[in-house]
Amino acid sequence: MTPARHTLSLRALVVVILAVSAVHVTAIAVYLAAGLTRRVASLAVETAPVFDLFHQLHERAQALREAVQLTIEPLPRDSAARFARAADARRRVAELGERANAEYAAVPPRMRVPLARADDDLSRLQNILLEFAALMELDRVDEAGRREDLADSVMSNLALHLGQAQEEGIADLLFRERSLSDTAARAVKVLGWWSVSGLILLGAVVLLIRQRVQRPLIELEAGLREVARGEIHTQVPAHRADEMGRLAALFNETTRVLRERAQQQGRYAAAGELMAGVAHEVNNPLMAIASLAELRLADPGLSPDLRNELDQMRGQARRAAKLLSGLLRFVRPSEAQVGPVDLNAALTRALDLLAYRLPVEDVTVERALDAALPSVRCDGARIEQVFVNLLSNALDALRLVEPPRRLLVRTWTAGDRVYAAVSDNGPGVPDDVRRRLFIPFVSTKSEGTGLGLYVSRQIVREAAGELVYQPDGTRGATFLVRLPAAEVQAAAARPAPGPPPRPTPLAGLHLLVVDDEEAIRRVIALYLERRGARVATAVDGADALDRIAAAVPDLVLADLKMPGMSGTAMYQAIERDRPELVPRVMFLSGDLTQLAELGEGHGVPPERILAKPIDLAELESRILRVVGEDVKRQA
Amino acid sequence: MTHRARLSGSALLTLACACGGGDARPPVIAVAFPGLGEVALAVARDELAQWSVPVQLTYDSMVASTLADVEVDRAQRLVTIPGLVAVVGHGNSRGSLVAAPVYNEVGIPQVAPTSTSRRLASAGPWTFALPPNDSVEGAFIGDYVAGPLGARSTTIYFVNDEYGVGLRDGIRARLRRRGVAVLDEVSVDPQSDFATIVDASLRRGVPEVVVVAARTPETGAIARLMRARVPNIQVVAGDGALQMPALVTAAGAAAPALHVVGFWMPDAPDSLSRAFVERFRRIIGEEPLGTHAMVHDAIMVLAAAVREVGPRPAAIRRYLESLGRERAPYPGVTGAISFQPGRLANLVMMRLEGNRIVRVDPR
Repeated sequence: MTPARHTLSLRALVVVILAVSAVHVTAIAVYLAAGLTRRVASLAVETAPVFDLFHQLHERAQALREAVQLTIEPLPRDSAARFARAADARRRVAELGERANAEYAAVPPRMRVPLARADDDLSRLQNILLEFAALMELDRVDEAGRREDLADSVMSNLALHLGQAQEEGIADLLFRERSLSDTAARAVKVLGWWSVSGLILLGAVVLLIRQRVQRPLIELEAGLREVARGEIHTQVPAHRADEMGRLAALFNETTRVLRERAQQQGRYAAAGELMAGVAHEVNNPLMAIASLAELRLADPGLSPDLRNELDQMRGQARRAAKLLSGLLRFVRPSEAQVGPVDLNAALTRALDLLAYRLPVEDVTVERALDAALPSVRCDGARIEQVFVNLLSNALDALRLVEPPRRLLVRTWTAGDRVYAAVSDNGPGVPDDVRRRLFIPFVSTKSEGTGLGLYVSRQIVREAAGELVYQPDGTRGATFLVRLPAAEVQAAAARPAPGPPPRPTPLAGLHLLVVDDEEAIRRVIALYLERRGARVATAVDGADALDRIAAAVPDLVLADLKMPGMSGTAMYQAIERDRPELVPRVMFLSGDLTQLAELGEGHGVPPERILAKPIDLAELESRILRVVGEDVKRQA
Repeated sequence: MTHRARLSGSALLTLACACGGGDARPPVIAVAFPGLGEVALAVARDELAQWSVPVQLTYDSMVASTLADVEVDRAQRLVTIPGLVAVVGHGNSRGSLVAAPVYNEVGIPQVAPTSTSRRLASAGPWTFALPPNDSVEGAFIGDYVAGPLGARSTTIYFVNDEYGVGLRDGIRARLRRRGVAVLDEVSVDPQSDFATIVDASLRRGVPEVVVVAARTPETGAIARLMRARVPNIQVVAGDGALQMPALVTAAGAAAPALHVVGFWMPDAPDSLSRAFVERFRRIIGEEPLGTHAMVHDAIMVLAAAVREVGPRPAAIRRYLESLGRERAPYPGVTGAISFQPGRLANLVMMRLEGNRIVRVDPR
């Protein structure tokens, strides 16, 4: 894979894109506001005074013209009438007010001079009218008549100057209009270019997003889809050293870890398979040894020495069988079977499983188990797996310190909670590791999977509990399992005390023992016959079916793993052909995982599944219970 | 007026201050006060030579006019002078008012040395009037007419522009307050048929005192006509008439009947006035008029602003605004100069004695 290129990070890229977009948009707004809007506003503001001034001057001029007409033409013959006309003229002129005092600031500079001249013309005209009135007052009619020419002359000047001002005003308006048009045209052009540049910018952004975000995301999505399909060899290219590149690198690292773990898990699974097979093969002879010893021990004529030796033989065989049974449970977990679990028992079984390490590693185990501990509701096998993990971790930690090495297991209750703690006096958990303890694939052990504590916590949490590391301030480490106590089982649920034992409790029962191991088959049959039963044997499933066809037994006790027809195949045949016999089929096997062949929810209740090796008395008790319950059911 | 004529008419007297002399062009103060302004500028130039302020004084000699278009044109030309930082002008209220928008548009401070129109106060933030306004002057004239002259009736002649109308209003208001009858108000202009309008006005009523709010030619003509028709009549005129020696010529035989308002007299006893009179006599060889002193003060207060705050027009404007407020009033020849409302008014009533003017004893 090509090394990732060092480029701008996505965050920086987004900031740059946003900044460029903001500048682009703001620039348009500023341009429009500063250029176009200002010009339009100024046009409106600067044009209004021009019109106002024109209006003012025209009104005044018009009023003066009217005054002239009224005053001069025609002159009355009667002097009294002329005097009255003069007074009227003076009044009208007075009404016109003084000079306009034009607000020249508001009009364009080019208009100021002609407007000022027009203003002066108006004042002059006003004075001429007053002189005219004065002449009439003085009864100098002829002279007054001559003033008419003077008034006309000033009126002409006024018209000329107003015309000039008007031309200048129109020129100014046209100039502004042209300026505005030019500005508008320029604005349209600028906006056009701006839009084009915006489109180019948008295209560049889209291209950038496609390259920098969309393509890596598509590749990542495809990679994830491959992983979801189980293809954990998938890799995605990390094009750049940005966030998406880092995401791709993380994805690749994750699949690499997954591959490594899968390989490791594969090895473990293979080892488990192997161990299960070995356990099954060893369990049969162990059961034969233990059962034979038990049978022999039933002989009252044995010498004490021989009895002692047989007793030791039976004990060692059972111990070995127990160890194998634990191993099998651990490496070949069956489907979750949730029910009441005694944490003391689970802890003890886990300790038994690891007991072989204790003397070798010079570890002293201290137990403080609450005898009155209520049961918890969970999967017993899986909670045992939790304790095996915790104990195994503790033993690994203790290896790092010199003796004395102590392992303390405790159970207690507080309120409605049941607690189990595994403590050691090892080196403890460093602070930096403590935060990552329950993170998957984190391990301080060179060959650890990093899944032990993670999986353990998940198991505990599935049972509505919690697994925590609990530093107590002293040396060492303590892991605490907290689970809700199961509801107390009603006393009625406990088996009622039965009638006094009979010497031949199985009398009258016809039993069929199916096992390919002759030693097992023989010793079980011998024991059951001694206990009063009539026993038939079969070497595999097919043989058993023949025997059933010949004479239907009261109960079938079958191994699972047999050459020829297996126990499960036989069971399926019975289900098909003799369903009434199904409740009386019991399995006894060194590898109960074979039951999985019956499929999910095989319906075989736990009381009809027995693990080899089993105590013969226990076997007898379970047979009686199954038969009794079926009788009860039929009744 | 052609461009050539305008250029020739605008003979610029450029007087550089001796001090300074950096690479930058010195700031220019333009004097737009035809006639008397040239003389005042010469005196101010002499005084500024003592200062270490590089100020150029530019004199616009285009003929004095009461025509608005001439003054607008003058202002529009002045603001194109490179380095212009302030203007002293114009020669009358009408000129100052019509030119004010031009200076306010471009942001050049304008100090009007003799314009009294109260409308200058609202002409814009860049326009400052040195003398008291026409209300104050009108009140001064009204008090004089009613008081020392003891008149009971008057006729007011006024020019129909910002100066004349403003002063007329001020006089009318004070006369009414003092119980003096205003028989007639007559509008005039330089082209008026004075004999006719004076005769018509006298037909309406003969006043004891005539008040004239006009300039020298109108004042002289009215004074002569009134004196001829009403021999003992007194004529009181506003500052606009105080153009010497033109007023003496215009008034002719009626000169002794004239009372004219001014802003300063050369007989003022303070040291600044004495120094100014001495300098004026040395340079010009004549007695200064109040108008000379006013133009001189306008130039000097702007030069002081350049010296204090530098040549930026905005800074000069702020300096002028601050006088009498954040700063002490500028000590001018005509009195303490500030542009605050309600500042002290230096007004003097004068009469003509032969070819000279003399202060009227207020008693």
